[in-house]
Amino acid sequence: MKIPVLLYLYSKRLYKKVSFIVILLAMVAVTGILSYLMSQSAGMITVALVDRENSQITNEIIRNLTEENSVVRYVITDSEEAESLLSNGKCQMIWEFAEDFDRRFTALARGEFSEPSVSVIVREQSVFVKLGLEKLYAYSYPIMAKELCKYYTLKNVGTAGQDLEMFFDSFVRQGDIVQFSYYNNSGEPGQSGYLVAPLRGIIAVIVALGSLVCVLYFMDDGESGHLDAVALNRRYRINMISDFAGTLNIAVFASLAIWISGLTGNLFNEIIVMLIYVAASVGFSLLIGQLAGKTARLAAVIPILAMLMLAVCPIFLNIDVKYVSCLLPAYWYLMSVYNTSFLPGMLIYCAFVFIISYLVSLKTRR
Amino acid sequence: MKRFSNYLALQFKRTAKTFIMVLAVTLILLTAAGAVGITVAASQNSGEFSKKVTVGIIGDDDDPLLDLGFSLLEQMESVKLIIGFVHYPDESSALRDLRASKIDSYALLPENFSDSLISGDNYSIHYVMPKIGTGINEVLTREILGVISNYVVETQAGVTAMIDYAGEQGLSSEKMNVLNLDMSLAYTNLIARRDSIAEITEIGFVSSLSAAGYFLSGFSIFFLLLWGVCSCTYMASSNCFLPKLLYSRGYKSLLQIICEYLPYLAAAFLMLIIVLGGAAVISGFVDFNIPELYYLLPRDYFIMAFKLIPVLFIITSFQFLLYELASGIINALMLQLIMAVLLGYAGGCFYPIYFFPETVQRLADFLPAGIAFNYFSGILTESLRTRDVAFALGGGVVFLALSAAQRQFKIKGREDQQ
Repeated sequence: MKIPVLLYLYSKRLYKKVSFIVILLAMVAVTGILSYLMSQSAGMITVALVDRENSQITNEIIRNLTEENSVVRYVITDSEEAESLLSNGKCQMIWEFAEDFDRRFTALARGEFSEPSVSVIVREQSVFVKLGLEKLYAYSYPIMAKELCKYYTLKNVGTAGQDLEMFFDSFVRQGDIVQFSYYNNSGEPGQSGYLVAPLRGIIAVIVALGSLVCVLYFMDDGESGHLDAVALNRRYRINMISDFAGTLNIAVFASLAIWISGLTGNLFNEIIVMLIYVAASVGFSLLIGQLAGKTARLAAVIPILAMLMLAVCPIFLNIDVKYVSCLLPAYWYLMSVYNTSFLPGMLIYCAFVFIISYLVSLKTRR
Repeated sequence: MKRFSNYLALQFKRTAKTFIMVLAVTLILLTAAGAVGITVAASQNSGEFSKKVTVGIIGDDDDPLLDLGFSLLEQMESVKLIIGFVHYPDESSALRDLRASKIDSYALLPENFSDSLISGDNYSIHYVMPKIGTGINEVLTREILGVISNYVVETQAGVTAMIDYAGEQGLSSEKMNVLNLDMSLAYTNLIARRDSIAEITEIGFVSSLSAAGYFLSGFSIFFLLLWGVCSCTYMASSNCFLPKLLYSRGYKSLLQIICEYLPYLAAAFLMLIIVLGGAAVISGFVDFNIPELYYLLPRDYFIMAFKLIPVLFIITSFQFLLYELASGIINALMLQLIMAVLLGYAGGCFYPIYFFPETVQRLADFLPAGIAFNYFSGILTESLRTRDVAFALGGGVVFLALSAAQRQFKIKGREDQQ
């Protein structure tokens, strides 16, 4: 039988089960819902703000903090509520502005000795806590800088009139002195996508796992005698075609899920990379299937590979285990989809897994 | 009752036959997961969710002002934790290392950058990074650079305002130059001791998880979610001839479900006892470095296994429902995997739940992974709420009831065509 006919027949076999379509549509729907929800305002750390002074300075600091689009979220509350939020994990820090904040803050700005003006309560130190504290310092700094300017000018120039304040306020702040760009992508660097971005990786892992499941399905057919009529030397080819049919169908829904999540970049690039990824996943699955040998063993390996792919591919974390991650198809997909210079590597990987899986199949056939 | 005990005994026997294989798979999975966990923990910032970003710097190495700036930056606690600097002679070598993933990004400082800062012109630094799927490091770096930018700009505002005002007051240019330098130093001093503004009190973990405890909880719940896949060879059914036959002999759907589910739960419980038993033994030799486990004695691990029954109940009943919903091995496995990964993500297994928007946090409280997570963290922090117990048990009952309804539906002849 010709390859397109086999592809059609295997696809038809899958689509005859309504639940196959329902599951893939569920994947698209859940991804869509998650991406919608995850794109709402979020933060990596929540800070409870307690303003005991309620002065112009504290109000200005709090306004500056809360108006900024940042990964630090703020809740303005009282001491009691803040403690309750901290103890039940709803916030990670409390910043309590002292009752005589203005006096302490002004003294500090002038370089005089002063007690701390903000009492910070944390459960444990972490990168995010440190980042949060930097925000507090940074947003207090403009007011401190102004105070220091007035104090210094008065001390050294002899006067610090209204004009000084006007000069300070009218200074043209040119915004961030850092301009961000990607070297491998023309897109605008964004900030809110860090919760939606992993969805692409999750979908990629699902495609690779789906491919493994398709191989498992084929092996199950073999073990239950459905393939007895197929000669041993033709099984590798049939297995490859059936896996390709299954993975391609899953990839279509996966692409739909990626598109719904708003993660699609250049359409042509996406299609090409996805097609190569399907091939890479098929080669990888065939290889793992050949090495596992039995359905039960392959079923046992699937969750291990799922965990491995989620951990070492750049989905949630970007850890330095390239020698492990480059053995997994999801790594090549995630790298190539953003950076086409990885495409040749992905093609070599593809060829490599197919050759090895074929050689292993020759050995197991004997 | 006799029907119940007969069928239950039969199902226990069936489960027992495959248990050794499932246990072996579980232990392999756990070993692999442990190795992955150790690798992840080793590469991150002491058990947190970000790693240090290496930034290449291309600029004038001989500029003393830039040197001062960088030494100030390197003293900032947050910068030390998030960013590490490497100096490059030119952009091409930095780009080469960026492509080879030796550095995470690079910053190209324009010529006469420090002069532009002094004059207030502010030539922009060109910060180049690769676009990859994970965005956390990128976001952290942007936040830190934003903070640094803020210090520079506000300092300039102060110095420029003073100079303009001094000029208006008729001060000589020599005097103004001296004041400019002196005031810049005063600002540098202010930035260096900016942390005097706050007094930090660390209260420890009263009733919420540490970062390491969070890792453990997320990892355990995701492991349990994936555990359903290991049982696929005997849980996935491709047809419902047997349920139909049993139904015709008086074995109602609910009875079938209960008899099939209880051995599955028992196997999960036995697996948990073995795993926690192993952990108890290992804890005698290895320090897990997880604050929530510091004071646990070996027998506490066994007690914990019993306390975790509601977690097992909700997760396994959910997996059972998925097996009931999907017919055939391919659908069952796909459904298990998709749900494990997507619900694991939404339930806070990969990122802390407080990273997520409010709506997702509220939604997670009703998802199996979220309910199990809340219960598990309640056990670890000894702050279990009645609500967590009720949700775990109630959720499990609902999933079993839905399984029974689905079985009834299938028996009535509406299953997928083979």
